[in-house]
Amino acid sequence: MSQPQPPLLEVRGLSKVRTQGHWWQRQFEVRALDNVNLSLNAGRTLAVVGESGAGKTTLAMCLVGLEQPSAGDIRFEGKSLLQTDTRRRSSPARDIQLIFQDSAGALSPRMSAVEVVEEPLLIRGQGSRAERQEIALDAMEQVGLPAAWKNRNPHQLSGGERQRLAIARALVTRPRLLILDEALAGLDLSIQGQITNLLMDLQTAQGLSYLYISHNLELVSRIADDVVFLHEGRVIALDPSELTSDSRISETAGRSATGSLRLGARAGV
Amino acid sequence: MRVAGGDSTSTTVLQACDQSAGDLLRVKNLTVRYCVAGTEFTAVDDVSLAIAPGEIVGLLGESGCGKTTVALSLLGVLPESARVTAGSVLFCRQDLLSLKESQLRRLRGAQISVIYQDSSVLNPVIRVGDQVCEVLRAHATCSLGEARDKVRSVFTSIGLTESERIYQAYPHQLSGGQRQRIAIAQALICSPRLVIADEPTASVDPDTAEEILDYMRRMKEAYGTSFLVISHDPDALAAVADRIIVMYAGQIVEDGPLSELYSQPLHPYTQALLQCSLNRKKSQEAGRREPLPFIPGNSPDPLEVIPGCSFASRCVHRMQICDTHRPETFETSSSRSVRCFKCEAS
Repeated sequence: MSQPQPPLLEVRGLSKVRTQGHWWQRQFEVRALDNVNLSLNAGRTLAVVGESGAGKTTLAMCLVGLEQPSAGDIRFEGKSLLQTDTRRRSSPARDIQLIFQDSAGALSPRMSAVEVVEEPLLIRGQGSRAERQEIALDAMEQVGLPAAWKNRNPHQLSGGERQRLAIARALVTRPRLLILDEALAGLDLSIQGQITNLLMDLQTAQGLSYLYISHNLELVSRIADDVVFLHEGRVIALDPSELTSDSRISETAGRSATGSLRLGARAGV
Repeated sequence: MRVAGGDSTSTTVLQACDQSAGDLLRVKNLTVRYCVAGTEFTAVDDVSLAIAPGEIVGLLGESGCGKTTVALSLLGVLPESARVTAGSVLFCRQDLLSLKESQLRRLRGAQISVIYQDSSVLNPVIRVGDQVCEVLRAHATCSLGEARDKVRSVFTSIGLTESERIYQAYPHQLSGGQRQRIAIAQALICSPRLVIADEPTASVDPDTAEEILDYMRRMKEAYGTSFLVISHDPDALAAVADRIIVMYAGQIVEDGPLSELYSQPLHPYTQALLQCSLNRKKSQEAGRREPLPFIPGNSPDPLEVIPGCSFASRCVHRMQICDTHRPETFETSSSRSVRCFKCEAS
């Protein structure tokens, strides 16, 4: 009897509590994440939807190790990301890439476009300078940025172009799991379509997995295999086919989900 | 609201506004050029638009088409690399481009305010409530207590329900959508006559987006506030705008009332853009994992000077003249105009 394959990413009882205010002030406790459980298999897309402030970004930050959760465990291919020490942690963490909501703040203004894209390769000491350049230019072409723009600085690019640059940077290391934190939110419809198509092609070709954080239900229902709804730090699992049937969701997720859906439906009219 | 004492400029501007029954803002033939690393290029090319009091105008276009540059030039806050080479901006019949910096400062925030695309405009070391309070107290004479109460009531009305906790928070303690709403509160606190909203709903969830758009509509009805809403998303503008102006590669390609423009787009770019969002909805019904629609090709490189129409390379109705001559703005009716040879011919 063969052992069942562990899911690529498994999150168990993840909680994150933040305290706002110093001891001499009135303190507020914010439960950003509250006992979150989810799992994602290789080659699939899990969408995390929820209103702003629901803890979506905190979840992404915990997954890549930029924030320490208060409780719970994160497993990548069965190995815990939290218990291993920093040096051993870096190896599975390389297979997880995060694309931020605000790419303008995530790109160094002093680097040229090609330097931004090749930097992850440089950090890992992969390839020669010429090889790195070639991979970086390939990745730029893949996301629709002409190679002629390689010497431009991020601030010389528009918002949508910067976002594409951030995606190219995440792709060069050939990650297994890509966390997209509202990565398409600020983009034009046409570019959003192009990049979504690109992401779906990459998934078919390379078996990439996506954790897609979004509030755009229209896009989510198009690309996600599984959907979880995050509300005030708690998770409610849903099925993408149910995204269109209003009543089932209003029972499970309450007012907030219906609100989002109502808007999704209005945008769909 | 009272205007701060000794403030002769904005008082005269106010009076001028009340007397004029015409447009609140009139931009004529505005051209803005950037100079980056020794090369000059045109970001905004011969843009003319008008906003009436109490009108919500949507400026629609893809990223990099010059929408934000138009907004920044209205406020006189263009980056150093940019300059206005031609045109005029009349706000209440006063040319904003000829005003001194000190005069502009009195207008900004009080008469014309702006909601930026990203909420990085917030100071990371000042409580967000105090930052909003500061804007109010810079332009109006009121006590700190009154100002704080007003800030809290604005927070509640734009959907920041835990107004006391939010007031005390620093920007990093709030989520992206909450920060965006703080920036909106800053812009609306002084009840300005014109609000320029640069992608106000791009980074917030649909619930919040609806609250924000609803608040805009209420502001318009209650105080006659005009809005210039900049967006790349036709659906976001459909929910709020009275009139739509479509921009492509620095030029205005189409201008018309929302319902007419969305039901019968004239310019091939508007048609393609609306098709993108319509098609997407159709294929969403069809099923999952089907490719999404998009406009083939890329928008032109601003450094490149194109002799003909800037959309020609992506246009499905391309004619010979499109490559050699630039189309002029052509009025199809009293309320609609379009920049296309095909519409001029028919």
